[in-house]
Amino acid sequence: MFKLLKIEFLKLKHAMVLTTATICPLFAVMLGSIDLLSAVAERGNDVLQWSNLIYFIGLYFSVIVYVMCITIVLAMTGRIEHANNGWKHILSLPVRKDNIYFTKLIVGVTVISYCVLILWLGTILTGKIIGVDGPIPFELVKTSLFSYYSALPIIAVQFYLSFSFNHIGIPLAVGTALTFPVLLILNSKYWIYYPWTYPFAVFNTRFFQHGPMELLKFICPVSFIFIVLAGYIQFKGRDIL
Amino acid sequence: MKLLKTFKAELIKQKRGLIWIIVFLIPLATTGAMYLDIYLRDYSDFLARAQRHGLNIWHLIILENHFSIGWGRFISIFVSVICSVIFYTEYKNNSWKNMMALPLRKSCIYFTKFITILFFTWLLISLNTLGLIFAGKMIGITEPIKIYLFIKYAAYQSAAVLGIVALHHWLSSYYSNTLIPIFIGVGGVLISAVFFNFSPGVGAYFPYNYHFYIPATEGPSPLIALFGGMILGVVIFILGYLEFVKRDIV
Repeated sequence: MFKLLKIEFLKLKHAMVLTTATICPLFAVMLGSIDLLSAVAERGNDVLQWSNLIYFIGLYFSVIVYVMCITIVLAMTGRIEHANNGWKHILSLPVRKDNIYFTKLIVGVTVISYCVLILWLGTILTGKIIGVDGPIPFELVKTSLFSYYSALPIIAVQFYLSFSFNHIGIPLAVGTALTFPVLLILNSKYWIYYPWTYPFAVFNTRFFQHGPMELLKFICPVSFIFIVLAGYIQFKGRDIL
Repeated sequence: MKLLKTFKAELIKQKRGLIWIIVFLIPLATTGAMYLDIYLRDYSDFLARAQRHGLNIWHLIILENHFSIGWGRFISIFVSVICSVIFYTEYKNNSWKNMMALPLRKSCIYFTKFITILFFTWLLISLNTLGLIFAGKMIGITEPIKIYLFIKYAAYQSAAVLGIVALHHWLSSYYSNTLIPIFIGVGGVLISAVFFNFSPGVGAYFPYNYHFYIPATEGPSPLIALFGGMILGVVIFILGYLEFVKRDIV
């Protein structure tokens, strides 16, 4: 399995996956910083705080950037095998199907965690550059980790779609279409039923009730395990032609 | 005549394709979202908002669709997905070589692809606009439908989106990895907010910005979107065409 992981990470080298995972969070950091600096220009240096920087960056990252990054990265990872009939080659190797499935999942999850790490590092670096007061808050680490955790259902769904469908348009179209109504659903009391709202809820806990937020700690891992297992059962039983 | 035949061939290629699902499902989703938006917020509150801002209720529905639901922001991403799906058909089957071997000029191929993308984009916009009317009627709006408003909304969008269609058409023809143009599209949408808020002068030349101007009741004129979209559409199309015709397709 370790060898398989090494090979899978090698495949990412020419697939622009890591470039996408690096640029997306840095983009959000840049846009959030611009918003904070314009707020500073309007209201003075009192606004230059870590909580505000995290809020502005979180707005861009959690609503569009993070979710689209997950969609594009996992679609790219799936495309590596779908293009040029790669599945036939990989399944003709003396490797178990389970190992292939879980290796792919580990690779996808690792790239997304890399994306969150870049966000975290980018936020700290930008905060230091623009002169944000005070020590780096633990809230930033907590928010980054929890935002990753909250996106587990989205990662599972996108992984399943990019894995199961040959056509790259399906995971893209589904990912884009499900990102589209996020802002609308966030303004309603039904946001807890829609996983695409979870990253935003995590970045903006002050706007959401404590009770439903606690439920996320249970919903995210359970839905992730459930969808991954369902995908695994389907993959194991499928004939790859 | 050749152009028409090639266009028909392009439509046949998409016959059982994903593109039809995208083009019909997305407006269906926005219609549902619009209905839910008014239903969840309470219709009387919606009516009060319209009266407070001195707007016709149908105009408020257009503004809700465009800004609150996010149609204006996402139309650029939908266009990039449409372009990717249409070009994916060629890259997946490695059929560029076959296309180039046909007795067709490169210019004809490039132009036909553009027309195909435009057809699906305009269909998407039209269905979304019709969906708004349907959602309004389902909610029970009794005011007479302002057809002129909806035609103007669809027409402005159709013109404003020309720049993005031309750009993504070019990008999708250039990159075999169809995800790259989508990535660029998402980036463009994110940057557009910065340009619109902090540098509106430069923003008038940025195609991803035009959705901000379309259903405007105050501020910059929607004519910027209309003319900007058309001019940028022509300029980017010509640039892409010149590059495509000179390129060796292998």
